[in-house]
Amino acid sequence: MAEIHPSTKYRDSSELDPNQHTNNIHSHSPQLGIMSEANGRLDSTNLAGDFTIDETHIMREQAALARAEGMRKTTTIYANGVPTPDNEKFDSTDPDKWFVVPGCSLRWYQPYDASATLIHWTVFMTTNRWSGWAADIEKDFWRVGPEAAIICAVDGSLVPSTRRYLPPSMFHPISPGGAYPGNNAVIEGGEDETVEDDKEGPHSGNPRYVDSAGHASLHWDLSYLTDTVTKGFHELSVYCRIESVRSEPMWMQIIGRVGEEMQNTGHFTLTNCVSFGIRGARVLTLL
Amino acid sequence: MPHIFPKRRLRTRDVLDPEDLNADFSPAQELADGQIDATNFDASDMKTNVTVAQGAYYIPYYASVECDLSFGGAGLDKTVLTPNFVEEDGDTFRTHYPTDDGTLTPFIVPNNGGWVAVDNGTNAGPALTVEPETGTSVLWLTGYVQYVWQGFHEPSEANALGVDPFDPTKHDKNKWPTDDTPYGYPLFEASVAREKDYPGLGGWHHRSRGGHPANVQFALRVDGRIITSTITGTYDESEAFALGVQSGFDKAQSKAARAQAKRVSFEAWEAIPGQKLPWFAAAAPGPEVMALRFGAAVPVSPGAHVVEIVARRLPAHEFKTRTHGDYIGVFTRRLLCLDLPNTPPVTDGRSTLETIPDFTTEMLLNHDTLHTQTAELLRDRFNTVDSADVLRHSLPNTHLPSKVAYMKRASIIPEINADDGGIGWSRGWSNARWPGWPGGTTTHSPTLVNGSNHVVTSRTAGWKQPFADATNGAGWFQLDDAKSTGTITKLEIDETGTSNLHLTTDDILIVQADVFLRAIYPEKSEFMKSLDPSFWTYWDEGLNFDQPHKYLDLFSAFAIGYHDGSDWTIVKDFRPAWVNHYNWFGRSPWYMCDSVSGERVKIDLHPGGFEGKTEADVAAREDPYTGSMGPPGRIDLRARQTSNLWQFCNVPLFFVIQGRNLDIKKLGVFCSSTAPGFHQADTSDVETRYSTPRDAIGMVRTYWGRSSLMALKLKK
Repeated sequence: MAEIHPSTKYRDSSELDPNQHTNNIHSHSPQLGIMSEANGRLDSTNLAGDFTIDETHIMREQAALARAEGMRKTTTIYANGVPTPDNEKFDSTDPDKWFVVPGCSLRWYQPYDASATLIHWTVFMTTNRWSGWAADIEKDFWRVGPEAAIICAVDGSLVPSTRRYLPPSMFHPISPGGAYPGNNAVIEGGEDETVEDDKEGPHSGNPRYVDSAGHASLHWDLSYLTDTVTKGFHELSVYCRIESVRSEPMWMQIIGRVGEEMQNTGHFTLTNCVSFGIRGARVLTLL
Repeated sequence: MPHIFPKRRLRTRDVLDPEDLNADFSPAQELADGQIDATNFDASDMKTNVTVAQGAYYIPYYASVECDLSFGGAGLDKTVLTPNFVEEDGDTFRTHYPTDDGTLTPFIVPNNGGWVAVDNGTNAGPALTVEPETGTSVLWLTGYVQYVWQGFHEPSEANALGVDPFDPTKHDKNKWPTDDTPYGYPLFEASVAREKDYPGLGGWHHRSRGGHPANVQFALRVDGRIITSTITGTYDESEAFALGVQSGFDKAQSKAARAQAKRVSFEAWEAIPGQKLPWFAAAAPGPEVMALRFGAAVPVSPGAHVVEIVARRLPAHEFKTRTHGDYIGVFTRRLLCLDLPNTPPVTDGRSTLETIPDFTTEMLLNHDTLHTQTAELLRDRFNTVDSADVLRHSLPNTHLPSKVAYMKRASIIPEINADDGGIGWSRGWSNARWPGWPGGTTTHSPTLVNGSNHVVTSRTAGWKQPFADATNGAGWFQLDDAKSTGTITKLEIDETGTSNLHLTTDDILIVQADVFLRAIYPEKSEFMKSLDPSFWTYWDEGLNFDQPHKYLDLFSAFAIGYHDGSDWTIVKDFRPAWVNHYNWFGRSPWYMCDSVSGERVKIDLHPGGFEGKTEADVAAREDPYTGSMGPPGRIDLRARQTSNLWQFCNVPLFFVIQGRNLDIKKLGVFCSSTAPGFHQADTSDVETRYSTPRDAIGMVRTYWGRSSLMALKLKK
């Protein structure tokens, strides 16, 4: 109770008691002094019956706070441009095994312990994640299936439930002229075999890819709700991992003209890559 | 106001100076004159015992249109159509449109490339907006849309059952649409020749052919300004995707390459082997059916504001004109705005100025002047502090109670089946089959328990079961972590026995979920399974079309339901999010789509691919299994060699409940699936008549991965 009850009412014909007067102004005892009660002792009992805290009373961003940060420029990251060895045992719970996606981070100062913090990470992604079967110039036949994934993090700690693999979007069909189950002609022929009759022999070169990266482009919006954001600086991030494709070269191109003899001359290597479009992070913290 | 103290302590034998007496009272008087701040209050008491006005922390604004996808019916004797929703004019909605919501309609995104506000569900009506009137504020915004790209295959003369599916004249692109079959979108089943030329366009049953992206962008617009950070795409609308192919070789590789060089020749009509760099726009979401969530925190100046969801359709591939009913519709759309005041508008409240005597020399001191006019007046003032007495922007978080009434987040990490050869199938799957929409005449069987909100309890319930069943049949299955040992955890927030999720009109409940959709798996029909590949005649009748993984017209739905203690409400109040089977090119290494000769079979290429033709143009001269010669045509070496491909997308779920009295006990996330077809009256089987005249699909199974659900209940 902080309701003020003065110690003297200054009654007429009564002597002015200095101590009582002083207590009316400022007292160590509660509920006496006008000044002392106002010096931090006012509480709900001092409030008028219809008193409410309204929006004009609240110090700026002391009850709710929102921040957002983002990037518009597209950034493309190739698997062989980031240190993600494909032969390394991958521990998805280790932040060091991932790299931070530029433009999806937000750092803010939280002025108090928040009761609830609603976080969103958002990113538009076009993934060039290879899938399929391949026969390379070594006549080796293998499955193309490198991983690509993202995961969100708060203050560097990964949020496990936000881990998302990225969809396969590029299919590398096996070369009709390559080595693959069911087409043993090439394998049996050996490296020295040359096939002159194209109608009966294997064609060189790879057929065109199934390229559906544009069709599989996705806008991702991942969210997280927590009550553990405390006073201080905090940081949101999106981490990514892109595995490299096994990199033996494969036939790339046929030169020549239609109706004439052609010869394949080149090769190429595959690499996963991810293009990040408009992206960002946003947070709403509530007291 | 800072702490106040008397200038001196009055003692016996002190001279009572009027100035000192004034100094005893005047600081308190000044304080009471609208200068009371955090310094003056007991923080801990204020934090727990003081009422905060509605809207003091945030003012919620919410607008939504709940709009069913136009699948038609789902029950016995009902036909599930594709979600094509508008006629070719882009204005007249289809007649099979759900009727339960009256006039609420999808918004058709114009194909003019410009940003247009999504309407409020009355065809071509005003925009769906929230219109906060603020001081200096930050608007915390969340938008949600469900879009559908029209163009799924529908039956026409050419595609009806009983019509020879190999008759190329029935699939001529010039045959559609006609007056008789205005929605007879063709099969879009790429022939061998066409797929060889355009392998990226091999998806079936939608005009996208699995390669062209939907190319629709959404964003939030505040006071006419697009919030660029909310655009669901890239900033450059003509941006193409980056190709993960790199050339270059070292000396050893070059030598190896030369050793492998082969001389070949090609006829003019043949596609040249070798790689061409593809070009497809990758500036906007690509799938045909998808739900999107996006948001921002936008600072605004004082005044009235208008917040809208806007959409635009980017140009078609190679900037060709969009034709033949190529429209995107925005179905359910939701918009939440929390106005977070920084400097709210000045209100009329003004602290009452108290006048106390100004003590001067020889002034009479008595009960009236010292007590009634001064001490008592100030005492009463501090004992009845009014809102207007408190200084503006003076109360920090230490003095403010929380308005977060409840929050909880639940998540699941489904177990991955390690026995599948490393492919990584999730054990979290369900055969749940969509039970239909509530109400109307094109809906589910009335015998279905809880109708459109029916919950099935078995993972295998749904497809291949009787449609209406007391415990299973068609319905929704709750997502779980599908642990092989121990207790299975459902994705839900259970507050049974508490009032944590009890809502009054003073509450606002924000519910969100993120579901990782791993796969929409088409299981072959019994008919397709029954065909013996050793008989080449069966290839004629169907095996050539045994390529179910290419189907783009398979759909999975996810929804957040709430339980009131007696039953689940899943789709009645908030429509689910739908995703189609947009990733389609999974295949085995034996998948062949080329001019291959060798030991097995020889296929001649048709001179030039052409749209709408089918495998009639592929001549097989030798049965690959028996070695016997058959009549020309009929064998497609792509058949039976397609396989599952991951969808791998995040399905965002989001809705808001406010202004309602609702006693929620549980929240949960559910899934179901559908495919266009005709559900026969006397059997649980699904004749996939509209999905494919090949009768290839028997069931759709949904696989999910890591997912989460969250509920945030706030006092207004």
